Amino acid sequence: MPFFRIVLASFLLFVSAAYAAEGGRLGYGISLQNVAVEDPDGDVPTESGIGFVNLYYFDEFRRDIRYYAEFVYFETDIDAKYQKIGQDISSTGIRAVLQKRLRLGRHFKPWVGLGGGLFREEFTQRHTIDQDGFLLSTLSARDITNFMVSVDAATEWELSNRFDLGVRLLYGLPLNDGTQLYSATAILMFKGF
Amino acid sequence: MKGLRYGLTLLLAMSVLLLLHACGGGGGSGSGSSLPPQRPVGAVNGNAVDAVIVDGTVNVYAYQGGIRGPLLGSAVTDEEGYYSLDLRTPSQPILIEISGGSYIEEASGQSVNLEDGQVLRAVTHFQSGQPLDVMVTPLTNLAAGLAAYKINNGTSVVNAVTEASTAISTIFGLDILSTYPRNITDVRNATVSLTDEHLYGFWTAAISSWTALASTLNGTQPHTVWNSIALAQVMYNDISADGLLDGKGRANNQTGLINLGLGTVLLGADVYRQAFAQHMLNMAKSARNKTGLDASQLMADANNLAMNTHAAFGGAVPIPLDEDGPVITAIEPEGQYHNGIFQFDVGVSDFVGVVSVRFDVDGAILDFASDPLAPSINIDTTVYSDGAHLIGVQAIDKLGNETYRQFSYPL
Repeated sequence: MPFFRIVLASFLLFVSAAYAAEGGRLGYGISLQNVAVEDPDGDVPTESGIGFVNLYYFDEFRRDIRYYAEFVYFETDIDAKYQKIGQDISSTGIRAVLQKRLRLGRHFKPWVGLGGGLFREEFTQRHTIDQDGFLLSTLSARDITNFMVSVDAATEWELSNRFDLGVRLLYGLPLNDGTQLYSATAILMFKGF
Repeated sequence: MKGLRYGLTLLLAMSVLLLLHACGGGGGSGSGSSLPPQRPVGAVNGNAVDAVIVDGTVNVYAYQGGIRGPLLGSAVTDEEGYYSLDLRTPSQPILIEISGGSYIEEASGQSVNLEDGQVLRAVTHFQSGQPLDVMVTPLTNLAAGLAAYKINNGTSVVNAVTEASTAISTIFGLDILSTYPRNITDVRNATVSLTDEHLYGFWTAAISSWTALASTLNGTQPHTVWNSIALAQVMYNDISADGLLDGKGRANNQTGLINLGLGTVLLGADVYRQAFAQHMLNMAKSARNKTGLDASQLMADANNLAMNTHAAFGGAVPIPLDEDGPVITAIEPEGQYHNGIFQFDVGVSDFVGVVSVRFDVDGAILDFASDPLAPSINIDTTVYSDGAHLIGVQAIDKLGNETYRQFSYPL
C-alpha cells in the first residue's frame, strides 16, 4: 500500500502541475480487464475483472497528437484450476501513452497510441489445487516491478461543454513475469471550467 | 482561471487521499480470497499378518496402471501388526506393501525376518476423506497378484482390484481385505464359536503348517529357509503370471512359464485347495492352537476350499479333502474266544473325524456305537451258533468316506 500511495501522490502532483500549467482534461475510468499472468512456477488461468481505479490526465501537444498519463490500481483473485496456479493479484502503476488521431471520416476520428508503464504487481495466496478442487500446495508470495508496453485505440464523444466520454481498447505486454492485459475502458473526461 | 485549476487539482488530490485513508486502500474487483480447503484426511488402518508382522514398514502407493505409483504414506506396524496412517489424497486405487519386520510362524514358533525383496501386498480402493481398514496378508497378496494379471490383460484398474479381491475372498470364504486374521496361537483369541476372524487366522496358520512340511521334505528345519513369507512370494508369482493358482509362474528373464514350488516341493491347484485345507485342520488339532476351536468346527470351510472349482483353479478337478475312510483296528487279537455277553471294542481313526460306527455279526446289523470316537457294543454270544463268526464294523468319516472291516472270533 505504501507504493500505491507514493505512485498516486506522484501522479496527482504531476497532474496538478500539468493541469495548472496547460489546462488538459482530467479523467476517471472503469475498465473491464482480462488478465493473463506470466508465472515462473507454472500456468495461471486467465481471469476477467473490473478495475474501478483508473485516473487520467489528457493533454495535446499539437493538433492530432496528444499524450495521456494514467494511474491504475487493479486487483483480482484468480481461482486455481487443476495444474494451474491460483493467486490474488494487485497491480499499481502509471502509464504514459502518446496518441495520434486518425481522421478516418467526418464523424470517426479515433486515436491510436503507443506507450509504456511501470507497475508494481503483487501476487499473493499463490496455490495449486488437485483435480477435486482441494488445496494441493501453497507457493510463496512474489512481487515484481513490471515494465509494460502498451498499444491502444480510443474514440470519444462530447457529452457537454465540460465532459467528454471516451472508450479505449488497450493491450499491454509485460517485459518480464508480470500480467498481460487486455482491457476496455470507459473514461469520463472533465474539460475544465 | 489557473487558480481555479490549481484549486480543483488540490481538491481532487485531497479527496482521493482521504478516500484511501478511510477505505484502507484502492478499489478493484478483488476482495482478497481465502485459500481452498485442504483435502480431508482419510485414515488407513489395518494389520499385517503372515502371522503378525512386527516392525514392518507399511508403504501406501497410488496404484496406477497396475504398477506402483507415487508413495502416498508410510507407517510401521506395532507389536500386534497394527498400522495406521493418514492419507490426504484423491479417491483412487491404492497398493499397500509391507516389507521388513518379523513374525513368528504359527506352526513351528520359528521367528522369521522378512528379507529384502519379500513383501506382502494389498490392493484396494481409497475414498478420499473416508476411513479404510485394510488387512495385508498372504491372501491379499494373492489378490494383488491377480489384479496385476488382470490389468496387464486389459481390465481397468478399478475393476481388476474389485474382481481380484472378490475372487480370493470367494475362494477362502471371507472378506480378505476387511477381516482381521486372529492369531490362533494366542490364548487371548480363545472362542467358543468360529468367526471369520478366526477362520482367517487358521488360513494363515495352514500356510505356515504347509511350509513346515515343505521344509521337512526339503531336508531343512521348519521355516529356516522355506517359510510362509517365501511361499507368499511364490504364490504372487504363480497367480500374476497367468491368473491361475496352478503352480506355474515366471522365472527371472524368462518369458515362458515354469513350475513353481518351495525347493523340491511343487505348488499346484490342490496344494492351494486340498493341502491348505488339510493343514488348516492339522493346525486345529495342534497343541499350538489356543483358540479352543477344534477341527470339526473348521470342517465345512476346509471342505469348501478343497472342493473349490473357482475359475482361478483353471478347471482342475478338485481332490477331496480326505478320500480315505476311517482306519479300523482291533483292540483285542482276532481269534479270541468269547461267550455270554461281552463288550466288543474297536479303534477307529480318521483325518477328518468319524461320525458313525455300526456293528454287525455275519452281516446281520446289530447297532451303531453310541460314541463313534470310542466305539463299542455288547454282543450276546448265546444267540449265535458255536463256532467262528465275523464281527463287521462299518465306520464313516465326516466327509462320507466309508470303511468296512470284519474280524473273526469264535463265539
